[in-house]
This record gives sequence, structure tokens and C-alpha cells, in this order.
Amino acid sequence: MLGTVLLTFAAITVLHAAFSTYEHLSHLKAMGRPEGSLPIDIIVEALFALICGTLGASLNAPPLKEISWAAEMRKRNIDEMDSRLGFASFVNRGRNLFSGPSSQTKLK
Amino acid sequence: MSTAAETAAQLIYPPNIKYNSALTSVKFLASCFAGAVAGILGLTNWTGFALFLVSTLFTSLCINVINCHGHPAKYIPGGWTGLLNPGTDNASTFVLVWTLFYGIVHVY
Repeated sequence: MLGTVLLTFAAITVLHAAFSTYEHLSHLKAMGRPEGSLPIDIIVEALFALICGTLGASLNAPPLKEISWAAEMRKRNIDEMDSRLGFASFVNRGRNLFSGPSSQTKLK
Repeated sequence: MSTAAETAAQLIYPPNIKYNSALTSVKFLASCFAGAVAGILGLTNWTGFALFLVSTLFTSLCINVINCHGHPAKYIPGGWTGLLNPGTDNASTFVLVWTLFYGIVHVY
């Protein structure tokens, strides 16, 4: 949210600085004076808008995710990624399912 | 046997690299603002590109501190060289917005 606020503020400041420059140059042309350099406050305003805009764009980006496999595996189980079905063992399950009715059958 | 480049590529998790491409919008917005400021200030020739260079360095600093928390190699495939890259076609974005604002403010 701060990123969006800064971006909007920077965009408005850029437009304001642009209009101020246009007005200043029109004023100089109307007075017939040769074009000098811009007033220092317009320069400061434009550079401030650039800084705010860059900061706002950076804050606006979503949090990044780490790109290495090791970092991704910290969040997941190895069984989700590589279950090795060929090595899965069903021996215990079969023993419990097909051993017939007995008084003490424990399911593992 | 896999080459060193393939081994290095296998350590990377591609979906997260795609997710981190949100940084391209940060670089795009920063070059737009830089172009606007260059046009407003009436910069021409090499001073304009000097502003683009300064803006690129400042954007890299912002991304490094705010988004990568000081470790660009964890989030960007190229490390700090990928960080300093101004982005695909962002030099021409800068020139486009520069000429736009210079034309609106100083010429018309």
C-alpha cells in the first residue's frame, strides 16, 4: 500500500513539476528574456519525484521467492517431490488385510 | 556426464524465477520516471543518458535493499550483474518518455 501511495504521489509531483516548468518558460518567453536555467525548486521537485517513484515501484513489487532448489525444499516434504513409487512397500498392509479374522489385528 | 552449466542449472527452481519477474515492472517504472525527469529538466545529449545511468544505479540499490534484503544472488539468477541490468528495452522506454516530456514542456 505504501508503494502505491508513493507511486501516485510521484506521478502527481512529476506532472506538477512539468506544468511549473512550462509556466516558467512561458513567462520567460512573454518577457522576451533569453531562456536561462530552471529555478532550483523545480529541479529539486523533479528529482524528488524520481526518488519517490523508484522507491514506490520497489515497494509495490510482491515479496520475492528464493530461486534455489534447496530453498524450495525447506518448505516442502521430500515425499511430495520424489515419492519413489517403485520402492514403496505394501507388505505390512497386505499382512493386516488378508490375515483373516483374528482377535488381535493391529493396523499399522 | 552433465556439464558444469547443466549442473548449476539443476540447482535452480524455475517456477520461482518466473515469479520473481515482477522486478521487470520495477525497472520499467523507474525508467519511465527517469525519462519524465530528463524531459522536464530539459536535459539533452549526454547529460540525459547520465541521468539514466544514475537512475539505473539508484534502482538497483532500491531493489537490492528493499526486495532482495541485501542478497541479490538468492533471488535473481544473474546475481548482482542481473541486478544492475536496466532491463529489456528500458533504454528505449527512457528515450521515449524523455522525448515526450521534452516536447510537451519545452517545445510546445
